[in-house]
Amino acid sequence: MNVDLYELVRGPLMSSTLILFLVGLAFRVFQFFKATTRLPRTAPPVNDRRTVKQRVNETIKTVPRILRKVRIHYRNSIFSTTPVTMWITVVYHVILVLAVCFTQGHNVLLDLSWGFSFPSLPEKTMDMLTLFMIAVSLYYLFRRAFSTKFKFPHIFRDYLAILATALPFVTGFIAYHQWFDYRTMIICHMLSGQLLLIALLYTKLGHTIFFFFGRIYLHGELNLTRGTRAWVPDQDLDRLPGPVSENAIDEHYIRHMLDQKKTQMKIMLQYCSRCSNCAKSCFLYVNTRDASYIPSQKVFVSLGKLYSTKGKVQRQDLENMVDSLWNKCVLCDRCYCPIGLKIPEMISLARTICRSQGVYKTYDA
Amino acid sequence: MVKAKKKPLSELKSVIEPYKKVLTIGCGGCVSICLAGGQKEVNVLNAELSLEVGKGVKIDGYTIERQCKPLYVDEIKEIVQQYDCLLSMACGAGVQLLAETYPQIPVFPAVNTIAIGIDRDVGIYEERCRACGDCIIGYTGGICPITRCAKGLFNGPCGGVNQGLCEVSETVACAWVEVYERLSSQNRLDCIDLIREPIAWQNQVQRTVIQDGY
Repeated sequence: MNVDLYELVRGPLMSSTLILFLVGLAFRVFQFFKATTRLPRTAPPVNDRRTVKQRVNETIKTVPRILRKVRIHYRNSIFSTTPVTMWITVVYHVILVLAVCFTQGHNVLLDLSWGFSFPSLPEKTMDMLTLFMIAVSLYYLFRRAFSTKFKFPHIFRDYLAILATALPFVTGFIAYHQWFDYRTMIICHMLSGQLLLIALLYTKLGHTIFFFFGRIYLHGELNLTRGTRAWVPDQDLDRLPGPVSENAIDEHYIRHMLDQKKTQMKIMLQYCSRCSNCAKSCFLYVNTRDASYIPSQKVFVSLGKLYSTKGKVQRQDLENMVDSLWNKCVLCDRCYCPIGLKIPEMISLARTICRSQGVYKTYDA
Repeated sequence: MVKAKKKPLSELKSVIEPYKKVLTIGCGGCVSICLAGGQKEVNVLNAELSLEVGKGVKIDGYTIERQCKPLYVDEIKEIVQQYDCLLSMACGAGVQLLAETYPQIPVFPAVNTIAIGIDRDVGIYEERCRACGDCIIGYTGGICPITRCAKGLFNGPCGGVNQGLCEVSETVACAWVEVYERLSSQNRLDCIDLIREPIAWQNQVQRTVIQDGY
């Protein structure tokens, strides 16, 4: 029985997972490019008459200035404010890719199935890296459980995400050391790996893939490149909200507003991994150290709630959002998201929806 | 931040008279905070205008988060097509961006943009800055002579100072006397002795701010 199951998981299930992953990935890429538009160039190209040699020489002269800028930038970045977590996180994500491509076992299977393979890392090294990954997962779990920054609603999903990523490493580690029943363990390992691949596309774990779109393609202050694309609404707002009544709210209009930017907002809400690294970019959070000031928190209690209920909210719910949307946010546009999500755009949409129902902050009291 | 004051109702009424469908557009930024052009003020203005112009005219209101940012101004591109004219309650910058974005529709300002100022109390705002682009208040004890001095003198006080008051009015304090007193309390009177070149207000072109990356 086990033999059959092993062959089933290794053969057809693995192929279908890979196909599903590739198709899903293509869909995600298509979705991203469909929901964004290419921005026009703001600065005209400069007519540069310097020769290549002159340019190289001038660039070399600016190196100290660039290095100084990099140093200042680093000191102001989250790598400086939370160095341990950030460096661990970077290494963690790099190892994730390394572990998939450069493990000997995976490569042997690849070679047997399709006749090609990547170079493999030494088994001892991989073993140590796996232990590191398990330790980091425990660190993440611990941090999420005890840090005040992580008091989110629906926190169970966040734990599940960490556990789902750790599971292939735990099972792989046990299988490699041949503890317990090898075949059961290796089947668990393959199943959990397949699950992770699918989860990469359809759950919040997709932030690993979206990172490349968010930080490279999308136009923004802290892009890794000169971002050339911006989100476009699915449809335009074609009518004004009706008159505001005291008790009822216009659910149709809220739905209309939610649909207007549905694709981009759903992508952003889904891919927020609630890492709370945006916290330090909010001056209000830095001043107060109150978790309800963390930008992602403000988004989740307002826009997150509107999307999860599909706009079926009470007036009281909207009034409860005023505190997060206006008192705890000045919409200064300076929130920083490591994945490249546009937090101010999410907050402004939530504000606009509240405004349409006559719920907003007044400054005369 | 930017401070503004609503225009007289009679002026606004005469401005929108030729039009049958008017959209008043508020701004959730500075003018909202200084009680001049936020959502509440849009509602109040529309109620006032409706009483003035009678039933034949359709006056609607909508408030966007910032009128000085294209992202937010673009949100209402389908809606504005349904109106004959737009009444913007934003500051001068916001009105101009709105007019630039929708050049085919007449845009009128509903507020007078006054100054960059401070909040003395709810509804009471004082001018503190004229955005001259060359700040010297580090040498004048944190008091801006361009804004506070009636003559906008860079080197003062002038001969018109009378017991600490300005010659233009007995209720206006002389900014340069205040500068002197503050610098003297900080033992920095040498700053007042420096002669400052006149600011080049003439031939001034539209300024564009490009921040250096860091």
